[in-house]
Parts: sequence; structure tokens; C-alpha cells
Amino acid sequence: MYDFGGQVVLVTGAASGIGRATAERFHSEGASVVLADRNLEGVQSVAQELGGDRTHCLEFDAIDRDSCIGMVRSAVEHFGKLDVLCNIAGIAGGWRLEDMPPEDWHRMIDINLNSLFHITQAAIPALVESRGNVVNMSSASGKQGQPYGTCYCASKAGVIGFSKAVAAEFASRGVRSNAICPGGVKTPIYDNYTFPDNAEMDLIDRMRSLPGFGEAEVSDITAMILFLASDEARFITGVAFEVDGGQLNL
Amino acid sequence: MSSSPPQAGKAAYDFNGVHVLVTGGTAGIGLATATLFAKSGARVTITGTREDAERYPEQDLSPFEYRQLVLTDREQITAFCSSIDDLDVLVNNAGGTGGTETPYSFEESVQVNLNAVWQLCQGLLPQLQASQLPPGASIVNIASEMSLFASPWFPGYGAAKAGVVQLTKTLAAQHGASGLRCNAVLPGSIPTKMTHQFAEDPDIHEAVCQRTPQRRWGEPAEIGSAVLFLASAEASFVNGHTLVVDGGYSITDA
Ligand SMILES: NC(=O)c1ccc[n+]([C@@H]2O[C@H](COP(=O)([O-])OP(=O)(O)OC[C@H]3O[C@@H](n4cnc5c(N)ncnc54)[C@H](OP(=O)(O)O)[C@@H]3O)[C@@H](O)[C@H]2O)c1
Ligand SMILES: NC(=O)c1ccc[n+]([C@@H]2O[C@H](COP(=O)([O-])OP(=O)(O)OC[C@H]3O[C@@H](n4cnc5c(N)ncnc54)[C@H](O)[C@@H]3O)[C@@H](O)[C@H]2O)c1
Repeated sequence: MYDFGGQVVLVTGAASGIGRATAERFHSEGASVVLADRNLEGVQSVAQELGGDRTHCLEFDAIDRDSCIGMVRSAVEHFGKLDVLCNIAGIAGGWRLEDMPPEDWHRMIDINLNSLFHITQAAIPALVESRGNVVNMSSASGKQGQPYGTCYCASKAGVIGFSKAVAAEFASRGVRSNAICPGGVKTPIYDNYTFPDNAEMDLIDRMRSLPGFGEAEVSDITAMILFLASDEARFITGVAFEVDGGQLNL
Repeated sequence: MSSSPPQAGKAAYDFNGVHVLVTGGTAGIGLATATLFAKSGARVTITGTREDAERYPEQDLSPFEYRQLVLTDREQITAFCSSIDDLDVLVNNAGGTGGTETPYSFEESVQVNLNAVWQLCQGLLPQLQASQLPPGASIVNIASEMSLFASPWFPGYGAAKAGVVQLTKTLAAQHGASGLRCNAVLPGSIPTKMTHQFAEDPDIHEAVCQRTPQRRWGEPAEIGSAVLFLASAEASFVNGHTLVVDGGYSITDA
């Protein structure tokens, strides 16, 4: 449906779920794709399924600044440029505020938010050069409060703020930056989401009973990412696009 | 499966067999949107305020079916809705601030930009609900930057366009379960008939560029691109969203 031929797309979190589907869709629309993840075997098997052509796999850990920067450098070096950066790698989980260990707080903020700083900072010269764009994975949780989600919500709200600020700072240099806010999508992150013991399940059930919650397909999310990354969206920058079937409206 | 090959970075949608109604399709954003739909294979009906298409000698409206529809005339809207046999996509684009010399009163502005939109959505609901379009039928409403910001020159327009965003969410919630989606596109500054006196004033033109992070006005087709995406199967899970297409103008506020 699109022609991303000749474009280079870097997808983090490409071993699983939304990141994997994003890498696959860009590849099927002609792009060269760098698949980066903590799980190297995972991205290698995705690349293998894609036939190996126009793919490059990189291992990195989003928790570590040097690893993020090194990953971006190798990515840009491999295909010689970068047109689209998709920051998708992330983790989720719920804690009671009273019980949340600071180590877990820092770990999630490092992976979900701070890594965007490291990766985008390293990638921005290449993106300015190509007049490229960034798509960042936020969440409906970045716009609404969720019980036991103090850290996840804060990290994903941070993604929206970061994304808008990059849009404001780089629009005049031709780089666009947008965020996506999915409601629940049935991927490993969703299936493995843990709530604390003795959680007040009626609070959670209220959230989960909102129309559309958990009904999104990964293809619904990747469709949005490709649209925002494409020239169809050349006048769109700084948005936080909801893909939730309407859940945030109620 | 698309009616024309994609261009670099562009989408090639397939709207063959789809009936699209674009209100206010005789100029500006509406015409650009109608043109993109037609090029993607859709059957497109447009409306304008004049009696027939021949009265728009300045435009080539031949790719479309033309219907007169004046949004200050409630009875005409009712009759119009019952005259439409089938519909898959409704684009509520007609609207504006009224002429430069004679801007709409508050009441007229709310009638044209909000009440009429509600009336069209309600009146065309049976046709939209009967649509066999695989991802479901959809409504796309054109909001405005004035949905978000104060509108000192056109208070009625601002109030009505803010209402359109809220109405969009409400329709999304009401009809989501039946598969009908409703979204809005919120355009930044686009040079059209409606805005020409601003676009042609060098000071205002420059002020808009300065305030817009992308440093330019948008093009009608850039709004059309967003409408097509929202109406397409690609956006089959997008419902109740207001998609801002403004080169970053509202980043600091929205
Ligand atoms: N241009 C912008 O910067 C901008 C920004 C935000 C939102 N918008 C919105 O985008 C939409 C399209 O505007 P545009 O900029 O493309 O303006 P435009 O070029 O002036 O086109 C307006 C269209 O609406 C029709 N229309 C106007 N008043 C009407 C009425 N009372 N009843 C029925 N039809 C009527 C016009 O029909 P005739 O040709 O017969 O007059 C024309 O087809 C409007 O809803 C506007 O509020 C525009
Ligand atoms: N699934 C949902 O319901 C949902 C909803 C909203 C937002 N999101 C967001 O979408 C993104 C992708 O989630 P998903 O559903 O595909 O989950 P997923 O668990 O299937 O995929 C996450 C990927 O990120 C990688 N990753 C995790 N930590 C990493 C690290 N430290 N360094 C490098 N890679 C790391 C994992 O290896 C995995 O491949 C996440 O940012 C998530 O927060 C998901």
C-alpha cells in the first residue's frame, strides 16, 4: 500500500509484539529495516522469516545509555542513513505506590523514557540529514490514570512530552516527531501484565470493561505508525495519536 | 490491491465501490479531499451552496456528483438526507466563518458549523449503518484550530468547532459498537477561499509561519490525506480521535 523503497527504518523492540509487527510491515512495504532488541535471537528469527534481505539485526539494552548510542551508530552505519526511528521497546507492570521498590521505578523509567533520550539524541543528526521522522510508543496510559500504574503512566506521559518537544525543536529542520497511544493490545506485554497482590480488582475491571479495551490488533497499531511515518502525514507533527477504539472518550 | 501505484512514502488506498459524501466539496479542503477519494476509486458526491455544478466555472467538478446543500436551511438538510440512497463515508467539511464583509452571526455560525453537522450525522445514520464497507462505515468531521484556541474574531465559529470535537467523541461512543466510527481532523492554517484574506496579507501570512514549527501554511491535500487515512481500513480501530494536522502549531497548547 505504501512505497517505502529506499528508506531505512530503525525499530526498537522488534523481537516481539508491536515492534515485531512494525518491522514486518515496513519491510513488506519496501523499507530496509534495522531490528533492535534486547533479545537478539528474537530479532534474528524475525529477520530470517523476512528472508534476510533489507534487514539488519542489533542487540542492545535500552536500560544502558552506551548500549543505546552504540546501537544507533551501528544502525546508521549499516545502511548509511536513517529515515524513520520507531521507539517501541518497553516494559509494563503494576505496583502499589506504597510498595513500589525504587529500583523497579528507575528500571521502568530508564527503559520506557530515558532510552528515548539516548536513542533520539544519537539518531537526530541522521534524521536531520534525511529530513526523517520519529514515531514513539506511548500508551492510553500516557493520557489517563490507571490504578497501580504510577510508574507506567508517568513513563508513557513522559514519552508524549518528549515527543512533542522534539517536534517543536526540530520541525524547522525538517524532522517530524509523533507519539502513538494504544489501548490494550494482546501481545506478551499485555498478557504478562502483573497486578499487585490484593489489588482492588473493581478498579481494574472498570478500566478493562471500557469499550474497545484489549480489542486492538497489532496491525491496527502498525497501520498508524506507517501512516505517521509516511509522506501522507508530512504536515502532522507533535501529535499523540489514540488507537483505542474510543476508550479514552468515556 | 490499489487503484494506482503508490508514490514514495505515499499511500495507495483502494476505495473502489465506496460511496463518499463530502459536504462543501466545491473548493479548498473539501475539493482536495473529494479529489483524493475519487483518484482512489471512490464514487464521490459533493455539495455546494449554488444551484448546480455549472455555477462553479472556476472548478472542474466533473469527477463528482454535485448536490446543492445550504446549511442554514434545516428543511433542505432533511430533504437532502432522505434523498441519499446509500453511504459509506460522510465527510462533514462544509462550514466556515461567513464572508469577509458579512461574517456569520453567532447563531448562524453555530447552525452552519455544528447544528448542521449533527443533523447530517443523524439524518444519514440509517444509510451509514446499512453500509457493507468491510471495516465499517465512518464519519470524518472537519474541526479547526479554533476548536482549541480562543477565537476573538469569530466567537460563534470557535464555539461551534469546539462543539464538533465533543460531538465527534459522543458519536464515536454511541455508535462504536455497531461498527460505525467517527473521527475528526483538525487542520492548521490552510490557504483557501475562507482564509484568503489572511493568507494574502503578508503580515498575517508571516505571523502564521513564525508560530508554526514547520514554518509554513499547510495544503488542502495534506488535510485530505488525513481524512482518507481515517476513513480507510488502516484506521479501523481509530474511533473518537481528533487528528491534528497543523505542522505543530498547537504543540504548545494541545
Ligand atoms: N482553511 C483553513 O485554514 C481551515 C482551518 C481549519 C478548519 N477549516 C475548516 O475546513 C472546512 C473547509 O474550509 P475551506 O478552508 O476549504 O473553505 P472554502 O474553500 O471556503 O470551502 C468551504 C466549502 O464549504 C461550503 N460552504 C460554506 N458555507 C456553507 C453553507 N452555509 N452551507 C453549505 N455549504 C457551505 C462552500 O460552498 P460554496 O463553494 O458553494 O460557497 C465550500 O464548498 C470548513 O469547515 C472550515 O471551517 C479550514
Ligand atoms: N500491548 C499493549 O497493550 C500496549 C499498549 C500501549 C502501549 N504499549 C507499548 O508498546 C510497546 C511494545 O509493547 P508490546 O506490546 O509489543 O510488548 P512486547 O513485550 O511484546 O515487546 C516488547 C519488546 O521490547 C523489548 N525490550 C524490553 N525491554 C528492553 C530493553 N531493556 N532493551 C531492549 N529491548 C527491550 C523486548 O525484548 C520485546 O521484544 C511498549 O513500549 C509498550 O509499553 C503496549
